[in-house]
Amino acid sequence: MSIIIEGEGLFSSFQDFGRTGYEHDGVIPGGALDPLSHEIANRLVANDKNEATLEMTNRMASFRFTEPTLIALSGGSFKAKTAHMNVLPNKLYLMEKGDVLEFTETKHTSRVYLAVGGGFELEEWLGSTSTDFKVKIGGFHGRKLKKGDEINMKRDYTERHHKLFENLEESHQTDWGIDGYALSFNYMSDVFHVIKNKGTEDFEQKALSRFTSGEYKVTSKANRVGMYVEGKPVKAFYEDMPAHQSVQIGTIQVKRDGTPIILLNDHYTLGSYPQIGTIASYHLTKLGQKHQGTKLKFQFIDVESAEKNLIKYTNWLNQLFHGIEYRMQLEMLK
Amino acid sequence: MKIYSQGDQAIVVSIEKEVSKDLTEDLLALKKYLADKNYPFITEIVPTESDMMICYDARDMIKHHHIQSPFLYMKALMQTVQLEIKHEEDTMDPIEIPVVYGGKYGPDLESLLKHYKMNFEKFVKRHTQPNYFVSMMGYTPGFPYLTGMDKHLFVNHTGENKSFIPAGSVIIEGKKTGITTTDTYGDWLVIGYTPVKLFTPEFDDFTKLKLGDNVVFKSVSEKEMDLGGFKPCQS
Repeated sequence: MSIIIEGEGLFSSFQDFGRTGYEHDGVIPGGALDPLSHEIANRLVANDKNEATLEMTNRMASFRFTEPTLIALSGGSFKAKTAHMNVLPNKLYLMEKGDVLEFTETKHTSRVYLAVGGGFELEEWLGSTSTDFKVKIGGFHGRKLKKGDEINMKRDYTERHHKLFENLEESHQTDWGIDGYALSFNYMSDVFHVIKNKGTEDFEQKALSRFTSGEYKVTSKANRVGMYVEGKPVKAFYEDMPAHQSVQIGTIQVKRDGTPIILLNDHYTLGSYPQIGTIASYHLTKLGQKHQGTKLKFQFIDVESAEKNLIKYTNWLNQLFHGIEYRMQLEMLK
Repeated sequence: MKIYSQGDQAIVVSIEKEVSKDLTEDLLALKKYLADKNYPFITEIVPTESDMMICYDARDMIKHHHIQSPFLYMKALMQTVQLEIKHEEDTMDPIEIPVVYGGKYGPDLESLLKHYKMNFEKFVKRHTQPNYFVSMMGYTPGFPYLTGMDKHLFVNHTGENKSFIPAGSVIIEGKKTGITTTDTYGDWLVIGYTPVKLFTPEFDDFTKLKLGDNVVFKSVSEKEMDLGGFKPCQS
């Protein structure tokens, strides 16, 4: 009733949508860096979207299954396989006891999410099973996975799960999934909308123009806390460090040497660098998939236009999720 | 008061005053006012020393509350509440934090004393004399940034290297002093250690100190206190 980690990958940890409502006490938000892929994986295995999935980074983990398990992988385009079959992104599969799943091609993804039907048995803190590495709590013992870890499954099976086990007994996969083309609409572009914030006032117009005119490259210095990007340096008009400032996921801070750092989900709850703006929330799922070497372009947008884009994005998400639900209902009629 | 967007799901209310107990109380009153109103779409209220970030679920506001622009709505909302803030009488006794200063408990104190051109006794007197208040909370859960330090102890440098710093380390940063609440790596200047636990994740109320709390330090010797479990700083 578990999965066993055969290879831990570069950085694998359990995440859900993170902790909300405790930032004023210094608790980091955490959660899946690409919450869309996290949710797709959950929906494909008929889980609640709040179930934790395993977030893997760049070099993915490999695992052995110890009993029949419904799985889905989502996040970018990649190739994976077991001894018996190829495993594609955004599709539901049934693994059998003894199956070992490993990745063969991961150049075009930064983060892949693994969901298992019925969910993993994990540690919860403040309403979330996301791993908080600073407090060393939540998820699997509050840490990233290592080789040999054995993670129990909850086997919290609903009628849908039972029906899926039945339907997939022979084929081990569904004849449907989500078309990668439909998702590329969300992930392809390199343009990121940036909304001006209080910190933007600390930059002269010339610096702001530099920031939006050039390209920035994602460096190897990127983790769940933040992402350093390389390009034209941008500096605040003062040399000193400002007073501590409020930050959000997507806030772009600037180091003393002018290197922008984009804050991600495990950011400290207070910022101590100048900040040039904050990336619009509807571009954060895309940001979570930008791997080392990817080019980014920043574009300022006013908050009211960003809100209009957010509505469009939300409508698109709803359509996508309705599509999955429709296919799932058809599957239930088989 | 100035209002800024912080992305499309948060605003920052900036109260343009010097950091003071009064300002922290303003922010706390504003935070309490908003929390009491229980707006279903407000997800976080995060004060800094002079600002407050209010996060909201913009999608929920648009979809379920028929709000056209969440930003303009929040901005208008903040402009109406500012008049209703009242100061509450400050009657809280300070919370006493016992500290073992220097030695292996405060490995950076020796070099700091040279920097200050001050002896150990004088330093301890200056650090234990003021009434501090928690002007900001962050970095790790329950980590208090304490304002009120004697200006002779202000610094504008950090430690030379990042090193292991155990939970309970009393540190100095700029014009502030603080106490680490988890084991951490950092370049803080560590001056002492307290066995008082400021963060207990198992508790519902997991932070011992709260924003606005008054704090005093008391110097104690190693022998006076159970320091079992102390892990020294390492570089």
